Amino acid sequence: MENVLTPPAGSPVDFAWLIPVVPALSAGLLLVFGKRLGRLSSAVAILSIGFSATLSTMVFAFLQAQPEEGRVFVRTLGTWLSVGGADGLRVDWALLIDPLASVMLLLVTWVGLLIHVYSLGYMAHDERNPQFFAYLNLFAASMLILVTGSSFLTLFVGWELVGLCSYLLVGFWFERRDYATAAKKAFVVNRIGDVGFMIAMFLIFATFGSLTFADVLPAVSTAATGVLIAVGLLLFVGATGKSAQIPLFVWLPDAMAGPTPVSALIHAATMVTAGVYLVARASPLYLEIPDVGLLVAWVGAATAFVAAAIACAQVDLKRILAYSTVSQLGYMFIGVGVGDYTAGVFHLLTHGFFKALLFLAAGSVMHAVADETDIRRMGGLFSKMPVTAVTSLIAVLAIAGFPYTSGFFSKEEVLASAAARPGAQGIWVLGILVAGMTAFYMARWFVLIFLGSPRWAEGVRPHESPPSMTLPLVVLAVGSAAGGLLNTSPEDGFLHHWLEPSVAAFAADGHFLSEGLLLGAALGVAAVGGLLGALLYLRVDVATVGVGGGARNAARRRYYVDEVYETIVMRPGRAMADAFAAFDRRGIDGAVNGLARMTAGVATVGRRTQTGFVRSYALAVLAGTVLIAALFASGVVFGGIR
Amino acid sequence: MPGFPLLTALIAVPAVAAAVVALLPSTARGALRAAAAAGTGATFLLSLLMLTDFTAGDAGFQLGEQVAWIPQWGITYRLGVDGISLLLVLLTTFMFPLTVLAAWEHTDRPKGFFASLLALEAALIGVFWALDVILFYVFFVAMLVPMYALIGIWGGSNRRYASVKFFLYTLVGGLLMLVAILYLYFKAGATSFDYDVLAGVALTGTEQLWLFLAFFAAFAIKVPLFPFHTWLPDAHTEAPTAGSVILAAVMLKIGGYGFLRFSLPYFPEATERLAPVILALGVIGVLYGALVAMMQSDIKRLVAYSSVSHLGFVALGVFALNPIGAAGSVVQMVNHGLSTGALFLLIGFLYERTHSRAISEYSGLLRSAPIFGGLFLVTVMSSIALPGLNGFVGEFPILLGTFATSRWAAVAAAFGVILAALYLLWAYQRMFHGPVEGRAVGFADLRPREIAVMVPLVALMLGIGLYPQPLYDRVNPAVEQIVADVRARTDVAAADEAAADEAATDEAATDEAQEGSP
Repeated sequence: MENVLTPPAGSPVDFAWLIPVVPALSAGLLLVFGKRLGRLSSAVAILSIGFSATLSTMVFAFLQAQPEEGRVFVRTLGTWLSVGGADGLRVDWALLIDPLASVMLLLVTWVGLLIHVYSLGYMAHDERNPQFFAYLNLFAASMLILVTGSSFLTLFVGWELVGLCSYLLVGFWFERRDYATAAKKAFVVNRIGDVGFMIAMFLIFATFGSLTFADVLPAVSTAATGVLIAVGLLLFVGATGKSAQIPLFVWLPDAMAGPTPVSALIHAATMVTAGVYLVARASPLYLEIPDVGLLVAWVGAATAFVAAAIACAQVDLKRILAYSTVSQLGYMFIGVGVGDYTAGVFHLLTHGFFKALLFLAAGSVMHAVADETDIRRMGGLFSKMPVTAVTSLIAVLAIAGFPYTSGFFSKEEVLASAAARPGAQGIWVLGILVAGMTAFYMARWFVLIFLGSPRWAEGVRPHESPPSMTLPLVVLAVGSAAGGLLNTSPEDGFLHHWLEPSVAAFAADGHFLSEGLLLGAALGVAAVGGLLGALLYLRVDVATVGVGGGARNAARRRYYVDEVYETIVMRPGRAMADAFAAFDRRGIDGAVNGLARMTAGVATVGRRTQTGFVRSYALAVLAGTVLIAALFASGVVFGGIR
Repeated sequence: MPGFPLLTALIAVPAVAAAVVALLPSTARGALRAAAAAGTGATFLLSLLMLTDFTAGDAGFQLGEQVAWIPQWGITYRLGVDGISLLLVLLTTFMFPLTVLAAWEHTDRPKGFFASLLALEAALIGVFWALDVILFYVFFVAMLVPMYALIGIWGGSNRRYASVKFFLYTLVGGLLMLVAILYLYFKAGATSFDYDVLAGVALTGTEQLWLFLAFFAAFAIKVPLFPFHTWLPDAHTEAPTAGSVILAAVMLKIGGYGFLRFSLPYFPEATERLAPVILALGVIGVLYGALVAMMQSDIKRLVAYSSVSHLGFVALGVFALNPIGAAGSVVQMVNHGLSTGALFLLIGFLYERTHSRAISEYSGLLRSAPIFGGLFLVTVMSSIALPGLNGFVGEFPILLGTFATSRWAAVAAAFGVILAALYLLWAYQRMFHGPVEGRAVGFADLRPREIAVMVPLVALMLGIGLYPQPLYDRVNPAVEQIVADVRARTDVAAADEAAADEAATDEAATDEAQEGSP
């Protein structure tokens, strides 16, 4: 980030600020006038995000036309904060448009656009339709602020706003108490991570005197390693909240309480990718502290494994996908953790395609079976909804890493990088295991929904969804299938070169296994997992699905993580708050009232001469004041004044 | 407008309006509230002149006015404005018309009610303008009376207890301050109560400490700082909506204002010595207020405790003793005024409809009253310092400034950010989410007049959140100077000490050298 340019006037980058601003304005418009606009609301929303998508594409094309060393631009709009004068805090409203931001813009706006279009059909009958589109707009705008922020603080604005949007959308059907609880949980758990992010910013500012990327990132090598380690860890705490990693992943599976397009948005285009993006954005910092990077990778690997295990035991079609997201995010953190930022971002992009597709397909299925979400009461839907089924299959193959699908390339790169990083072999082993588990639970998901015998409830008439819903599925299927073209090889793929100006380069130290063996192991394990899942569940007796004790039960109960948090955090917290509240009433206020009673007791002696309560005090005040003044004047109290 | 006594006019307009209201027949409800609206509205419009008459980049007092008042005691009528008092007065003149509009349907003895409100506004503006310390004290006591009346006459069922408690707390703090003022006066030669004269009094370390504590009593109670806060939940809960709004939005700000105007400039060494203690109290206030707020079953009480938490941040920023923290504190005071004022207004709308403040008696309000619920949520988000809204642009600089002084204090206070989200969203969830039940059944959404009260507030929340610079441009120079003065004067003191030490060492060295020489 040494060579930061000001965008030429009139270029798409010069207007890039409209990319977040237009959907944000549209959101405001719909929130205030949505009722009057009615059906028009969705059109406004789609047009606004479509505008952002178009402009993002122009920005991307503009960057591509620039020489490689001239692709980092900062577009300053004005001062946001200038606090405390010359040595104070100064943060501008400014956009950092570089290759990394540009691919994120494409992902967010285009996948966002598809989800908007899909919602036309999906939310057609909801009475709060305009509000829904307003929130979608706001969500996209927030994420666009996040990925274009030119400083830690402006990134943080988007970071917190996506938290707000998830709160609004997860709790969209707030009449249900459990949904409202899930919304609050999403916000609060995110905020726990945000505090880590905030403290990291305090430390960054104390060390570098600035929060702007262009000031801080080139200077990281001048700072003490201890400070960098602290900053790296604290930023990662923020990332674990937003990107649902251990120990803060608990909010994401509950967040599927929101309407399904929202889940697609949260899991694919916006929100959860933010943590990965943050680490990639701060890659010069993490390059200085490889051990912290390794920790990040280990947390990612552990999360990937635990979430995959839980996904294998769930029976709710969205919940399986939710844990799958947590698991796949783990892969991304393996990538950025071991230092291959390109691989991490690559998997973020491909995952954006196939996970958006999976969620939208899940919504399409729910539409067909009267909002049923239990995969045990589905089955045999392939012939009833062929478009949904075929596109789902493509997504399943992609996430399972079937050769030449998008997920194959990106996951392979993440695993190869882990294998190339000394000390990360254990991570690689976990990653391979998770690849097998992923293939297994996704095969199970697909088979139980689309194949086998129909098990849906009496009266349900499954049908294919309207074109507004299937069209996005088809587009995303193309992306899921062909997304690997972005980076067909780690050394000379497109993305690899493209991101060079933005992220630190990966220094591979040579693999501990031959590349052929690495590839073979991953493919073999995934094939075994996938086949096992398919064969097992093709002929399964559904009565045996989602039951069973021991390890399976523990996984189904999500390893009791929520219960543990309830016991060790929430309950003691409530008890402490209760104790404080009681202390405030009886302790502090009790003392005050006791003092008052005592005074009143003394005061009764001279009370007869007084009538009104306050008047007596006013008089006492006056008398006291005169007395004190007199004492002062004569120097009695303090002595030696004169 | 050179020569026009703008500062005096801003005190006089509401005072005259109060007199007019007092002269109107008590049955003329329409005329009474029209007069109140006209008085507060005119004051607000007049205060907008400050935007052009005040020079943003200057640190010192501007638009000064000075007339001898009681010359034999050296008391003058001296007014002046700097960036800090400017913002707080603009907040005051902005909140009052909205409060009057919210109380439009007030029927219980409206004459006294509106007269009290107007008198209160005059006194509050006077507190911020006064640059003669006795004049400051007079306004400080004068504002007590109408607020005491508002709580004690138009308050809830436990109003007597709450109003007396409020009165005594403020008065006790005020009296201690008066003692200190008189001490300073006599120490300075008993010739003047002028703000600058008393600031120049040379004091010993011990004197500074005692006098600091006396002023601190007055202001810590006002903030309110833990553990001097327990009058606030009672006063807030029992006060009528207008009283709660003004109490939270404006009156509490006198605490933070007093710290910056008096404590720091008058007693720099004591400030520096006691700053760690006050930072600790600020952190405790932030966390403790939030935890206690969580357990409240009365929504008004919950908001009152949230004030304890939010204003703990103000103490942090001021006693971080750097420009970032101090400037953040002033902006936080304005923001707290807007968001907590808005919360009390909204709770007022709620209470007018149902006469209940119990959180548990509501469920699903967002369903029955979406506009009310939406505006409430925006206000909640402003209160929990969501970036993009106003709360954040004050709280973040405060924490950043505090971090430079005391890392642990900033880190601990940062957890208040989680707690704020927890207690406010939990309350919101219980009252606004869920199926429509309890008193939410048949709950009428906001009327146009009530929406009109909220729109300016929400607009400012958003406006300040996105572009706080007009505020900081005016606050920065003022706080920079205050902090620089504290630094300079404590450095001088430290240098004196160091010089004394050095002299002692030199002497010793000379002695040694002499001993060493044959």
